[in-house]
Amino acid sequence: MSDAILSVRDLKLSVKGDAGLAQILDHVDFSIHPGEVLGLVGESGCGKSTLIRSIMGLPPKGARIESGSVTFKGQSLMDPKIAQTLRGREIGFIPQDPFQAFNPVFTVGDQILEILRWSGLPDDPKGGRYTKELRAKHRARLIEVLHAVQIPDPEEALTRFPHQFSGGQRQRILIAGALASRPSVILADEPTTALDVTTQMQILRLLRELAKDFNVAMLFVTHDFGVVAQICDRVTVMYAGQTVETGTTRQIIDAPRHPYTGMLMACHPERATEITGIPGQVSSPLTPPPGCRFAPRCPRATEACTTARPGLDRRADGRRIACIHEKEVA
Amino acid sequence: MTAPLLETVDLKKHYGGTRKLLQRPKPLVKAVDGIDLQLAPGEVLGLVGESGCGKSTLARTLLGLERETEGKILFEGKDVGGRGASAARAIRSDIQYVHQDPGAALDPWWRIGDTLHETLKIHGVTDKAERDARIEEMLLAVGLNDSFRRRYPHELSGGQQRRVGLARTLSLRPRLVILDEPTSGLDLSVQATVLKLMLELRAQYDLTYLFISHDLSVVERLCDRVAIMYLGRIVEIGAAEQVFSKPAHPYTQALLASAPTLERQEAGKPIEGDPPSPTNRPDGCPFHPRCPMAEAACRQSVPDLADVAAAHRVACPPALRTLTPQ
Repeated sequence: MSDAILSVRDLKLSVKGDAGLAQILDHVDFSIHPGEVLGLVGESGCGKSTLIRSIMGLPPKGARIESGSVTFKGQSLMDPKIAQTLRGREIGFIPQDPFQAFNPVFTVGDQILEILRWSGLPDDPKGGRYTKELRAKHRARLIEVLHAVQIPDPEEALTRFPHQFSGGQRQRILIAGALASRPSVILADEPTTALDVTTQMQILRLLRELAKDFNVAMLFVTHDFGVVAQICDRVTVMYAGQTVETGTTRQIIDAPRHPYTGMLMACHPERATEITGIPGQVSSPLTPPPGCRFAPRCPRATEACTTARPGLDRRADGRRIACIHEKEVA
Repeated sequence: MTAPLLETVDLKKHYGGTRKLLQRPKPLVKAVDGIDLQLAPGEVLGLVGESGCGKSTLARTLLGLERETEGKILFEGKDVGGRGASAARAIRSDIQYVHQDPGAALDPWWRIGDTLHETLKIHGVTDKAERDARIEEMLLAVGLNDSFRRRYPHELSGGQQRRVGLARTLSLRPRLVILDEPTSGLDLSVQATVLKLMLELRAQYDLTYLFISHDLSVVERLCDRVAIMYLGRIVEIGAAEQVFSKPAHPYTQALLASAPTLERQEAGKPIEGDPPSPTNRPDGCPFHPRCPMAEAACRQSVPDLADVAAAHRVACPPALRTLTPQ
């Protein structure tokens, strides 16, 4: 396997708030390789958004990284200066809601070119002024990418306002904006949840092709396993701030091994034999249980689960599972 | 089929199209345009369609929050249409509604108990003891204990807010409940428990559900029958099993092919283009600009629903011809 382009190692992060110290992330660990789409799955409140923000070098206010590292091609993204130079240029971002991402009073061209002005293209002269020629070059590149995301008549599209586009088209334009600076990693934060199913499928197929054509690695955050099956090569599952299982898409969907992944898959309407759900509540990050955070809801939990956090061990089938009861059986 | 609980005949709801003095004319929006629907007592009917297809307008019209432009609404055979909002709500109190976002539907300054009391007061339950008893019963029925009365909405999780939404609706003892995207925004594990609860409540209180959703896997799982809507019209309706296994309308086929399932879908082209806006809907069959089966006749007249099999109707003449050869 080639070297990881982005890796999160044993990241532990807490946020100090009014109510006390919230332990949002507890030993999150995964890496992404060039050209690969990694799904990041977890229920709301499991720390997905905090994680994405930390990768962009914009951790929430009051956050403290207690241990671990986030590195991009060997450079630490925990250094704000480095993160700032990489953000938007080497690390692209596709937001969740295409309806809120635009300012309604500027044309989409002005807005995306503004982003390119500050992030710049890789072959821009260093430290130079923002000239007409530079803007024309950015514009040419943007039009090229708009063609790639199948926006009809890109020249004209740049002069239009956000409300003149449908949700699917707006999302395509945002994808073009993220791809224009030739990033090597794209962070996609639930980019299709705000869209209708037919549009969602169009966007998913487009993203899959673009990831291949532009050779970018993608971290695809979602809570929908159906979407995961369509686009991801590998999946990492989080529960309450901890990484519980990482494996290929088929491994996770067809044969989940961590008890949480298994119970979550059993909730999927396509897989459920009987609609049940997972009993109990997600623990509060203010008072996380010691050891495995899923232990209070886990049918297989024993005394040992509540004392020490299980290590995220690599198994014979290539997965990494954080569960002491899931030893080499499969 | 037993006598329907709710029936609509050629129901239409149009907005705009009028011009007031010194005002620009508003474009005519045919949000709901000719819906014939029958709901049998005790069934769960799924209503599926993309945003802007008129699902929510249909729900609001059935509730009486919007006055229908044309057509009839019959509840247990009685004509309950043709009234303004307050009169319609009074006569249709057997039809109740569960909001899509129950968090937004709860007043953040009111305790849950007060909100539930208010609901009953509005509907004329003046005896406080009776209100208390009903609230206690309902909270228990939705799986919340009595202490939730003293809580504020922000202290509840998304799943609990939905349970309160259900309790509030059911405390009025409705016969028909319209559920508007009841599981959108919920996590998978919470969604499962909410769906299970809704099925239990239906059995316990003898309810009929109109289940509005765009999540096909949930609809397939939960509904007896399903109606597919496109631009204000029902294009296909039938037993859920039938519609999901043998979709007849090209739009239904495209919709099912687009739903992300747990298997990776390599084959099959996704449907092209965006859903058209209801302000400039195409002539003839509203789906024809995106339809792979479209022919000349589709551009001229709006097709009506016709039987393709027992209890399975579709509004697409080309599909009908291929499926039922003469």
